[in-house]
Amino acid sequence: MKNLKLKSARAAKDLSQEQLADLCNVSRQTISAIEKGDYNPTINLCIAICKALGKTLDELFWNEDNE
Amino acid sequence: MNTPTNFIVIAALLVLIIAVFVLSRRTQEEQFDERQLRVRADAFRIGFFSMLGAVLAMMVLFSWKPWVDMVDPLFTLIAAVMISFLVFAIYCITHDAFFRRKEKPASYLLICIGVMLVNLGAALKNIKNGTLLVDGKVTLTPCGNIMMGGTFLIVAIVLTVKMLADRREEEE
Repeated sequence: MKNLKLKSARAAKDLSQEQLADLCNVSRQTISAIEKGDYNPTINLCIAICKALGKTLDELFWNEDNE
Repeated sequence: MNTPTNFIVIAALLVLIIAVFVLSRRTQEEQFDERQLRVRADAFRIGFFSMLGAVLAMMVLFSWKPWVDMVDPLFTLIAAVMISFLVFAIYCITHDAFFRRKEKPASYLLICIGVMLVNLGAALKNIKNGTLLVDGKVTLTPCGNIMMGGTFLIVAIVLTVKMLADRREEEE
């Protein structure tokens, strides 16, 4: 499932995938894979992404459909 | 083993140990990220089983008499290694896990093209001189050039296609 919350949060911060990847110490393709829903990141990477975007884990990675 | 051979083996081992030591001291920017490590583990597993499959296929082929007369066992063994390398490389390249972060694929592509040209050039020379087969048999020394050249040609093609696809994705 695509992670549109992450994509919109990144766009709101006016960051490219490459810039977010640099902030999180991963490759651009990894950010792209997370946004496309092709890769489930570890909790460490989720936290790094949240810190880079100034969001909480719930805001970026919680899926309401699972409730 | 005689003394020069011993020296070459010891020198090769020293170079290998130093290379492993230097490569393991990369900064965080030059490491593979978590997704890449996972992909590479999958690629290694698939490559390993490809090599086992290739070796098994070659064992079956060597039970066939005409094949034994045509092909040297060492050539087929190295071919199995090349097949597993190709599987590993293609899987990693297509899943964006062949290069570390910040590594430039263009320099690898140039190396691939260089190795390919040297090997295919040597193979062409052998074909021209009629020395490709040894006693009518495919052996490692002249035919290995075709195998190496072919392997690096495939890697270079896959790399080029992937680089073009990545560039298009980045523009979007």
